[in-house]
Amino acid sequence: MTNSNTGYHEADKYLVDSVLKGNNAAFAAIIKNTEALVTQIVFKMISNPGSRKDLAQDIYIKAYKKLAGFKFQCKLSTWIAQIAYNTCFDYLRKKQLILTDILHEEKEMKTTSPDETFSVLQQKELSAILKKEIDLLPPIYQTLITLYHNEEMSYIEITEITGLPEGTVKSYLFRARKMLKNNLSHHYQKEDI
Amino acid sequence: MNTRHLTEEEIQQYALDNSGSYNKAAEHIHSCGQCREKAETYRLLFHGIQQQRQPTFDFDLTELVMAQLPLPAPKATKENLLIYFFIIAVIAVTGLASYFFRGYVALLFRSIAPGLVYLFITGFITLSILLILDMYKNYKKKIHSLDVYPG
Repeated sequence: MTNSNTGYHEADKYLVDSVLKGNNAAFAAIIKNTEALVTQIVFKMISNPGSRKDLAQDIYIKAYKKLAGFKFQCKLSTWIAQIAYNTCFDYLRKKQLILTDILHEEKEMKTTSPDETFSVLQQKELSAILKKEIDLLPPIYQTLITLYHNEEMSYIEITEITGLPEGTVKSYLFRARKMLKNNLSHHYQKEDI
Repeated sequence: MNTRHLTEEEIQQYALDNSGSYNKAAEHIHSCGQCREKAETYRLLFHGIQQQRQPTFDFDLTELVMAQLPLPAPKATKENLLIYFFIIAVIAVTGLASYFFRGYVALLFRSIAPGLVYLFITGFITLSILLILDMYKNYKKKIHSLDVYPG
């Protein structure tokens, strides 16, 4: 175990022990520490803003109730992210919403190379259009892209959160990136015409 | 020189690898404009993803969750145990004294006029009720000030 691992384990242990001893204020600190990651997962998995509020509360109430069972086998934030992912996943499954099916077909690029149009991206509000394209990806793809590229998590951490095998995580990420690149290229090609 | 174009997966891997240690791909990309352009596209895409704004809730999540948590069960502290012990000791001493000196106590009350005894008892009960009410009000006030997350 590395020093940094020991460091987060000690900090996590202190907070968990405090909550278990009845110090609810320590749980507020846990929420503050993990809120950004949980928010990312909830926003990527759930498109309906009304459901996000209920789910976010549900995630932390579950974490509070299960805290005594946390065995420190991973970071506390990873464990809470796992609860967040599973809660959102169950919600989508109950609502029978599509999880990984391709809602947004990859566009065939036959006329010109998709990469030629990309040079225009920098000048054309890349960020806003990219956000729209990310939002069109299936929830799991969005979540994996966010965990890997925004939260800079390793494949191991992502497998801990999602429960998906490492190979599946890599494969989904590859497909998500490719879809995103092709759909963006298509978007710009259409605009240029 | 490797003339075979890189696969999409290899290009993604190359674009992700900031250290440039992905030699096999680097060698080809150096000499192939088509693959280089694809790699640049991916780099631009990854940069764009990292620039995305962090989403935030339009409500205070901590406040919302804390309001729903059960209050922690009060635990018996050393201080509390001392107080309980003191109260039990006072009751025991008073009880024993009343039992052993009951004759003297009865004699004391017999020598005082009954009206005066009733007046004394009524005054004592009224004063006790007022004191208990005041203590209860103070206790509620203190508990309220300690309750950071009122439900």
